[in-house]
Amino acid sequence: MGTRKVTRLIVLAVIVLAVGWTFYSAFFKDKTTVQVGKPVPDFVAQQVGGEKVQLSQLKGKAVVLNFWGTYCPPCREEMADLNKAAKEFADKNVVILALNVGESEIPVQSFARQYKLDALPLLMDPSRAITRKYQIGEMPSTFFIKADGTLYKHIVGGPMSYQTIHDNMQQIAP
Amino acid sequence: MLDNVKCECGHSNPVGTMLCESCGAPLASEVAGKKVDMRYEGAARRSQTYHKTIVDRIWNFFSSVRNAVIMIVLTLIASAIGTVFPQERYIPVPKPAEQYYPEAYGTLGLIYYRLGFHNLYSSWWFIALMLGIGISLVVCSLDRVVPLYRALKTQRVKRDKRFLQIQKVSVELNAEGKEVEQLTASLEEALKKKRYHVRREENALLGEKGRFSRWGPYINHIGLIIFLIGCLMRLIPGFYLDQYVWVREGQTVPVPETNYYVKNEQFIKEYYQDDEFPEKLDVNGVIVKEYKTKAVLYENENAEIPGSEPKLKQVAKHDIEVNHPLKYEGLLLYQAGEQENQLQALNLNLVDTATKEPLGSVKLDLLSPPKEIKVNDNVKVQVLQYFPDFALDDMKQPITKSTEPNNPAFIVNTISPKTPNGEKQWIFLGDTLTADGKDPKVTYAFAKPDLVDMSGLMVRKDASLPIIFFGAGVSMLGLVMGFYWQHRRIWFQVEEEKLLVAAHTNKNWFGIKNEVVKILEANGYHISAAQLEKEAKQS
Repeated sequence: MGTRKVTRLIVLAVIVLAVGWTFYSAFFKDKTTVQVGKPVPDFVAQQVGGEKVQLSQLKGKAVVLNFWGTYCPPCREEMADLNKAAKEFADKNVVILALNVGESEIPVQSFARQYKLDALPLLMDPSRAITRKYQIGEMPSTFFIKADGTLYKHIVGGPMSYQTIHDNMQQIAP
Repeated sequence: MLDNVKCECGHSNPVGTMLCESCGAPLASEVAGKKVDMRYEGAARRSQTYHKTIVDRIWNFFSSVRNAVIMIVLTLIASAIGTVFPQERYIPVPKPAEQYYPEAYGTLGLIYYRLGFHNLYSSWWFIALMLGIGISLVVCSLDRVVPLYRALKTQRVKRDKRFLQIQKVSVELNAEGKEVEQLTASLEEALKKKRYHVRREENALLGEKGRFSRWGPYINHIGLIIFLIGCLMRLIPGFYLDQYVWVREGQTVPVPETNYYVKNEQFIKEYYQDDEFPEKLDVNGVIVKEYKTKAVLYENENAEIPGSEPKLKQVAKHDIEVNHPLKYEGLLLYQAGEQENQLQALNLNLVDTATKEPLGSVKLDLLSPPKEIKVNDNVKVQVLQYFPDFALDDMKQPITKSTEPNNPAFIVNTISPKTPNGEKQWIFLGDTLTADGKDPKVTYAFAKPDLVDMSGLMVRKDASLPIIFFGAGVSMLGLVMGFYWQHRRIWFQVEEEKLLVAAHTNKNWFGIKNEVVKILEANGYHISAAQLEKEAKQS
């Protein structure tokens, strides 16, 4: 009688575990690599007309990471505001990195000239390795990263208003 | 827990037992005098015995084959409905699902979306159904196999007379004047000849064969469960990969979700020649003989930080043909698509418009355009702007619609002795235009562009396949066991000048009756197969 009871309990336990695990992994486990409150993945990217930039080397500074492309209309619209915000926060230890997805240097450079982006560091991701790592779908996609390297907020879509950009930058400023 | 039920023979049976596990005497009053259901040997099944606690009820729900069938049918219906409108991942326009379905399909679309049909395999109730079926598979099996195993293991040779009488094949024959010992020995011999395993207890015989076939359905279920586990393992990161990658000739691109890079050295498309056909075929055009990608696979040894300079090490080199993938450590690259003659670079000849003197030529690569091209000592071309997929936006401003060179347009600045301060020109596909609208001093004449073939490779990785195949194999083994063999038992008991005969099989009654007839014939009893049944009915 004892062994039978134990067997039944084990069978029931296995079933409950299987059910629990399946539901947990299907609904509750966040499958995104970049999560609010968690450290964001590091990356290295070439800056247009400049050096390579590594995210982890910017410790001590809060970072706004914006994924964009000249082929994306809302991205084009918010670039001027990002540039303006970058100027305003230049001495407040918040940097904006505008990471271009998949284009070559010529269109990015001429776009910067056309939109007079003089304060915004433009980064390149021609192989889209960083874009894939950050699981970017819809663009623009903007990550507000605190100085300790953890994610404060992720805004998908746009254009963001200047107010939105400003307020969130205020929040992450060290 | 209730006490066990003790049979007259002294054997103690679990509560709910219909026929004594040992002697076969009917225990429950409702069994006596009726044909008994021998499927589980009249053993106690938990689901048929306990109905009190919640655990009992859950167990009983899942042990019901009827409920399992209902869940399977529901799953099938849901899967069918899930094909009526496209699944979310196949929505043709980039819109959120909650907007797309009502807009495209009205109220039905809204209901479809609300019920989660737009993402069927991930909707909670679909997963619940799948789990229900899985649990049902386990519980149904356990509820039946455990008592069945017990009953078959503990069965005795000498059975209660009533057990023999309630069998489907059952007959009493006259044994008056027969030598009991001799008759028993002779029957035993006859059973052995038919390849029965025979056990004897006094004047009782039990011939049994093919008992293992009773385990067939359960082995089949174990196989299915292994199969299901294999499928579930695909959810674990790294176990399963299903991707697609386009590679131009000469290009090296990263393989998505891996640390590998693949290079397309050459794409070859061969056609059948007329003389390769046994007879002249009336076909329009030509028939492709093979698609082949000469591929090299590299591993990026510097994949830690995305965006850092890849450090590639060649790990495999293979010609990929249809159905002959490149295989490397579980990664499979299949030939799956092709786009021929894709624009790779524009070739332009520079000509002095006035003198018609050729000044040289430039190549404008469409994937990584050069910033500046030195044509000769006196002439250079600066690429000021590049739109791979040129279009005009609402404000009539030039933009690119994507990063694909579908409609490339350049703005170039030509610096030559005739244009020392530069001359800006648009270069479109097959057309040029000066920025100021005047006739150009340096004319760009189009030469044949560089065209390359693009090969589409399907990227697969499936570490769960060995488990899935193993599960399928076990399942097949169970089916074969259950389908091609039968568990046959024949009882002979000599008692009070009578020969009691009974037989049971789980299928093919025709076969077992013929065997009983033959065995009896060899012992001097002439009886037809029909009589066996008829006799049984009378008793």
